[in-house]
Amino acid sequence: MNSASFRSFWERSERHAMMNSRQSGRAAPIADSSVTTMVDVLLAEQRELTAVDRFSRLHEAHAEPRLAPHYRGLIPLTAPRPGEQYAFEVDLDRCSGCKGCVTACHSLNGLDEDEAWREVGFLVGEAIILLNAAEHPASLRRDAEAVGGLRGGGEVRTEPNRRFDSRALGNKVIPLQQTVTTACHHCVEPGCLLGCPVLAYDKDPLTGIVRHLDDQCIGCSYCILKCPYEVPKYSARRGIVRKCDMCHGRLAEGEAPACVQACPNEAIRITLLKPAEVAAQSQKSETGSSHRSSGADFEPRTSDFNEWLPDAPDPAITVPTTRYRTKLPQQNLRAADRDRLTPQPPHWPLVWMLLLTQMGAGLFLTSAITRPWLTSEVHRTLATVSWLALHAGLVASVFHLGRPARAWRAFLGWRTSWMSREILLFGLLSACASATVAAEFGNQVGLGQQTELGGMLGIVTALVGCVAVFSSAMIYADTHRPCWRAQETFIRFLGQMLLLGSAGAAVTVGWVHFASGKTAGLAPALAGVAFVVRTGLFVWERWLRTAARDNPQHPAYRAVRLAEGCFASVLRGQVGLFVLSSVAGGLAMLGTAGISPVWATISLLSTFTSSVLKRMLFFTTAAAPKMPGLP
Amino acid sequence: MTQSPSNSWLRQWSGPMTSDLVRVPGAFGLGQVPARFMPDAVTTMVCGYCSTGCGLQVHLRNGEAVNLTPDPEYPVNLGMACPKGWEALTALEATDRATRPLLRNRETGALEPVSWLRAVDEFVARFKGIQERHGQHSIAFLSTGQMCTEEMALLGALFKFGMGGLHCDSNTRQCMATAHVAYKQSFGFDAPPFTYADFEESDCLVFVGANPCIAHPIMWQRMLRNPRKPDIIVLDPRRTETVMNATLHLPLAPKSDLTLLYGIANALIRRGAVKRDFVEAHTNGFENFARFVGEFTPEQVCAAAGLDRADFDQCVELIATRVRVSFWWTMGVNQGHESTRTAQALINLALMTGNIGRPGTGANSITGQCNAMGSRLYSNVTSLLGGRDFAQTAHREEVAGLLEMPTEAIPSASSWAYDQIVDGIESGAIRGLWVIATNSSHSWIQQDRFNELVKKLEFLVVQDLYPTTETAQRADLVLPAAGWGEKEGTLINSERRIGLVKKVRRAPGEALSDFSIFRLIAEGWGCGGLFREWRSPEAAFQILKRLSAGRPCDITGVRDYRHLDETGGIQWPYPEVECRKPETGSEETASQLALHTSDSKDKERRLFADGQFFTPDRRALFLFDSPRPVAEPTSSEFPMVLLTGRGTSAQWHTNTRTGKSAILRKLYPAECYAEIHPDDARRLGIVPGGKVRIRSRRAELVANAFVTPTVQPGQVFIPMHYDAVNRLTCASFDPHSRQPSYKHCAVALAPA
Repeated sequence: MNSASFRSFWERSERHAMMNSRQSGRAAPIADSSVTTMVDVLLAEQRELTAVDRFSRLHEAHAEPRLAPHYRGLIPLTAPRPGEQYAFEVDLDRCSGCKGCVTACHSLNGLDEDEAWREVGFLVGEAIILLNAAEHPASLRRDAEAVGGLRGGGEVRTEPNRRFDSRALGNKVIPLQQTVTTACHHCVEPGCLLGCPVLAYDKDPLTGIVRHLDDQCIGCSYCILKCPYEVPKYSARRGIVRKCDMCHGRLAEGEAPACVQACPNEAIRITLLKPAEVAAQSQKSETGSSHRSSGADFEPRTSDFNEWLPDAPDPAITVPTTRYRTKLPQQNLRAADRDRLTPQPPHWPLVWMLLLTQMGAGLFLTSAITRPWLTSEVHRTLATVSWLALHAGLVASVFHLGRPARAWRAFLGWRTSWMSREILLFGLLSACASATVAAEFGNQVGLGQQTELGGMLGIVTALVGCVAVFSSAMIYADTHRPCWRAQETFIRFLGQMLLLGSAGAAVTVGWVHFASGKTAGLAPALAGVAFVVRTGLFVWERWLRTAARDNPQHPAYRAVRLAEGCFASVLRGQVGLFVLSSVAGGLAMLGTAGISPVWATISLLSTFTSSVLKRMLFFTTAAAPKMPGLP
Repeated sequence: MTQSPSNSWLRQWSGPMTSDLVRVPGAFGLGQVPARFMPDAVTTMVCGYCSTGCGLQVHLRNGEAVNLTPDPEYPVNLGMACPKGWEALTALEATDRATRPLLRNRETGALEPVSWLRAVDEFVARFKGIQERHGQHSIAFLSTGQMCTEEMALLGALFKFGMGGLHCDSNTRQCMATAHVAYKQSFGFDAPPFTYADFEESDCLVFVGANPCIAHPIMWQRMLRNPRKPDIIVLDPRRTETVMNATLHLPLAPKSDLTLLYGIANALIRRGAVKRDFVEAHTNGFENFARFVGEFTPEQVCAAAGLDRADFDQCVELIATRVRVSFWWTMGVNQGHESTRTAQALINLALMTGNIGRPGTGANSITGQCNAMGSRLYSNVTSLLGGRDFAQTAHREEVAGLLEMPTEAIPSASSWAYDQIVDGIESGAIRGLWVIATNSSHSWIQQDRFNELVKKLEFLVVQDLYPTTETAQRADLVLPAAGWGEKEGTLINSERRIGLVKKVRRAPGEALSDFSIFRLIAEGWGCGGLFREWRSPEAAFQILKRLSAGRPCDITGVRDYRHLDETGGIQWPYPEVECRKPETGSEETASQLALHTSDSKDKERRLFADGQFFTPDRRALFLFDSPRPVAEPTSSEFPMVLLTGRGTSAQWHTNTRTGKSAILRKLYPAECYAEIHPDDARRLGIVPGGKVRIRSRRAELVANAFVTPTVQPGQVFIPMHYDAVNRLTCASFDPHSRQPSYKHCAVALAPA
C-alpha cells in the first residue's frame, strides 16, 4: 500500500471515528485497511504473554534452593547455643560497592516500593605509607604492596591526620574509599525494644534476632528516635514502622538471609557470637581506645578486624552485634556524609503536645504556688484554663500515632520505656487535673469544704505535672542524641513550663480581675516572673549557640549548624518575637488594670508563637546519629 | 528457632500486618519468597541493562512477571545480579509510561494523544515531505544499544533499504565504537576474543579505564572466583572501587594513557619480554611498532603520566613475567580523543607478549550496553548486516541475495557518524530526525549545542518507553514503545553470548514493541513488501542466522529461540557444521574459527587459540600513531580537568529507567555532586558538603562538593547520570571511531 492510499484510509477512518465518538461518546471502532488491521493485530499480539507457552520451564519440585551451595558456608551450621546469638558480619575487603544487597532484600522480602531494610554508605580517607628505605630495601614488590596492596598484607603504618610534609618526606599518601552496607544490628541492648511503649519489639531468646511485631505497633516512631542507626522505618501508608528481621524464617530453614544470598562477593555472612562479650567490648570502646582515639599519631595497624565503623554512633549505647572486617586503617576514614546536614522531621503533633502539656503543667504549678493570694473565682478560671491546655496537648499527641486505636496498650513498656512512663504520668496528671477542677467547681456549687481539697489537689497536680514534664524530657534524653542531652532538655522543658505557666497565669489573672473591675492583683508580678524566665531562656540559648558554633566536640554543634544553616530566618523571627513579647510583658508588669491584660495577652501570644518555633527547631535540628551515608 | 508465641489480648504476635511480610517456600528451587509474590512458573531471560548479560529468572503468575531473582545456573552470573537487574521490572511500572502516540499540537505546542494510524501517517507524510524537499538523505535516525538484535536489524534494513535513508547512527557510538574499529582494524573483524572464564583463569589482569567493581559488578564477581591469586593492575586517574582491590594502581594523568601504553611496550621490548615466535607467525607490523615506541622511554613516560618510576617498572615486570596476562578496557579508553589507537596499544601489548587465545589472556573490551555487540554486527549502520562492508559490491550482492531484494536498494556509501549527523542538522543537510531508545538531549557531548540544533529540525520523532525523557520533551511525535520484558528478541553480551529476552509483562496502553513499530512504519511507508518475512522477532532471527553464514560471527548452528533458552545462551561463532559434528568438526572451519573449547564446549568459548585472525592473511596488525594533545588543554582561566563516568551500579546512563525505582534512588545521591580533592577545596575555599560552581567554556553548573582524596588534585569528577554534566563537556572525537571524548575538558571551580 502506498502512502496516498494509506492516508485516504486514515482520513476515512478518522472521520468515521469522529462521527462515532460524537454519537456514542466512546472510542470508535477502527476502519479496515491493511494498516488498521495491522495495528489491531500488533496490539493484540502485544497483549499476549508468551514466555510460559513458548519456552522451557523449571520444574516446580526442586529438592533445595539452587543457590544453597553458594551460601552454605556463609551461615552457621548450627543454631545458636545458650549464650550465643546470630549476627551479621560484613567483610569490607570483599565488598565491591555494587549495592545488590539492598535490592535483593527489597525483592526477596516483598517490601513496599520505597522501603529498604538495608542501606549503603561510603567512607573516604587517606593513609600515609611510611617508606623507610633502611627497613625495606628498594624492592619493586614492596612498593607495589605499599601503593596498591593495603589489602594484600605487608606492614602498612598509617597516620590519622594527614600532614603536609608527609609527601616531602618521601612517604606515599594513599587515598582510601570503601562502600559500607548496614542493616539492623540486632543489638544486645536494643534501643528500639527498650523504648517501645507497647512491647512491639522482641529479642528472640534463642537467636537474638530483634523482631518487630507489626500488628502490635502503634506507630509512635519513638523507636526511630531511640535507634542510633536509623533502622526502623515509618510507613505513613501502614501507620507502623517495619525493620529487618534477619530473614529469621529463612535461617530457621537453613537458608541464608536475602542480603547474604545476593552478595556476589560473599561479603555478608551470618555468624554466632556471645552477646556478653560484645557488651564488654563495647564498654571498652566507650572509655576510649582503638578507633575512637582519633588524636593518636602513627598508630600501627595491629589487627585486620576493625569491629566498628568510623563516624558511626557509639556502640556502647545499644551494643550492636554487626561486625565489620577490614584491613583498611579505619581511623583514617570518614563518612562521606559527615559534613552534610539534613533537617529532621518537625513532628508537629509532638510540638503542640509538648507546648500545651507544659503550659498546662506550668499553670497548675503557678496556681498552686500563688493560691493563697488569689480569689476562688481566679482559682476556678485558672484550673479550667490549665485543664484545657493540658488536655489540648494530650489530644494533639494522638495525632502523632499511626495506629491510635492500639494505643491503649501503651503502658506495657513501663519497665524500660520513658514513653510508657510519660503516658502513665500524663494519665495520672489528667486525673489529678480533672479532680482539681471538679473540687474547685464543687466548692462553688456549695458541696461543702472543698476549698481545702481544691488546694491539696492543686499541689498534688502541680507536683505530678512537674514529674510528667520531667518524663517528657527523659524521652528525649534517653535517645542519646547529643543535642538532646539531659541537662539542656531539662532546661528547655522546665523553663518552657515556667514561662508559659507564668505568662498564661498573668493573662488569666489579669482578665478575671479586669472583668470583675478589680485591681490588677498578682498579674503584674506573674508577668514579671515570665519576663525573667523568658530573658533567662533567651540568653541561655544564645550562649549555647555561641559555645557550640565553632566547636565540633560540643554536643549541640550539629544542631546549631543545622539551625543556622537551614533555619536562619526562623532564628531571626525568634529574636523579633522575643523583643515583642518582652516589651509587651514589660508593659504588662506596669500593672495598669485596664490595659495590662491586653499587653499580657500580646506577650503570651508572641511567647507561644516563639515557643512553637523553638520546639519545631528542637526536632528539625536534632541531627540524628547514623551509620555512614552517601556523599 | 521457635515459632512466634500465640496472640494474647496484650500482645499481637501475628495478624494482617504481620502476614504482609510472610515468606513461603517458593518451589522451583527458589527458596523462600514473599507469599504475595508466590510464582506458578519461572522462566529465565537476560537482563536488559548492561553488556554483562546476566540471566534473570522471572517469577510468573498467570504468565505475568511478579518478581525476579538472578538465575543460579546461568553461565554468566551464577545466581547474582547488580541492583539494576534486581529492579529491572520496576522501570516498566512507572506512572509516566507512554501509552499512546503523542503528536505536538502546532497551535498549543502541547503533546497530544493520537491514534497509531494518525501517528504513522504523520511520520510517513512528514519524513517523505522532507525527503522530497531536501533530498533522500535529509532524514536520519539515532538509535540504541538497548534494543534487541532483531529490532536493530529491522530498523537498519527499513531505513536504508526501504525508506531510502543513509545517515543513521546509534548511541553505541558513545560507548563501543572505539572497540569496534580497533578490533576490526587489528583483527580483521570486530571480535572481542574473550570469555568470562578468562577472569577466573588469569594470573595478571590489567584494567585500563575500567571500574568493573561498580560498572560490571558481576564480572568482578567472576574475577573474585579466580583461584590463582592474580595481580590486578589498574590504570585510572581516580582511586576507584576497583583500585581499592588492586595490587598496583597507576594513577596516570588524564589522557596520558596512550603515551603510557607505548612506554610499557617499549620497556617490555627492552626487557626481552616479546614472544618472538608468536609475533613472527601471527602478526604484521611489529618491527615498525618496535621502532616507533623506542622513543617512549620510562623517564619520559612517567613524567608525562605523572607516575612513580617504581610503579611503572612494577607494571612492566608483572606483564613480562606472569604467564597469563589479560588486558581489559572500558570507557576510560573508548571515550578518548585518540581512543582507537589507545585500544590498539592494548591489543599490541597482548599480541607482542603472546597473551591471546590462551585461557586467562586477551585484549578484552568490556562492552557497555546490553546489546552494543548486537548493534555492532546487525544494526546496518556502520557495517552492512552481519559485519559486512557497504563499500564492497560482493557484500552488497550477498546481502541482497539473502534478503531477496535488488542490490541497488543497498547504498554503497557509508553513513555519517553521530557527530556528523549533529553537524548535518546545523548545516541544514539533516531536516528530520528519528530518535529511538536513547536520550541524546542528556547524553550527547556538549549538550546545549545539541539542544539548540534540534530546534532547527522540521520533524523530530522520539520512540521511547517514556514521553518524559529530555529528548522526548522536544519531540514533534512520540511513539510509545514496549520495554525489555514486554517483548521477545535476543541480546549479545560482552563475551559474544546470545541471550534471550521474553515477553513476561503486558505493555501499557497502546505501547508496541520496537519491532512492531518498525513493521507498522514499513507498512505505512509503502515498503512493507520488502519485509514480509520479518513476521516476528524469531522469524527475523532466522534471517540473521542466514546473514551470519560463513561470517566470523556465524550462528547457523543455533536452532531457534528454544535452543538459546535451553543452553543458557550461546556464544558466537556457532556454525552449523560444528554443531553437527562437535567432536571432529570440519577441520578447516574449526581451525578458521579458531575456537578454544574449555571444559564445557557450549558454555565458555574464546577466539584465536590457533593464532589465526580474520584479516586476509590471517595475521593481526600492530597499529599505532603518535599521541596528540587533547582538544581542550587546561589554561589559567580553566585550570582543572573534568572527568565524567559511572556514578554507581544503581544508575544506568541518563537514568530514564533506573530513576523510576525508589529503591535504586536510595543508592546514589539525589543531587548532582562533584568529587574534588581536599587540596583544591582548601585552596579554592570550597566547603565540604557545600555548593561548588563548575564552569567550562560552554556552560556552568552548580553541584554539591564531595571533598575526597580519591580524585587527584587538579581534577574533578562528576557522574554522567546527572543531566547538567554534558553541558560542560567538550565535543572532540577520535578520528577513527568518531567516539566522543567524555573524559577530558577544561573547567574552573569556585564556591557557590
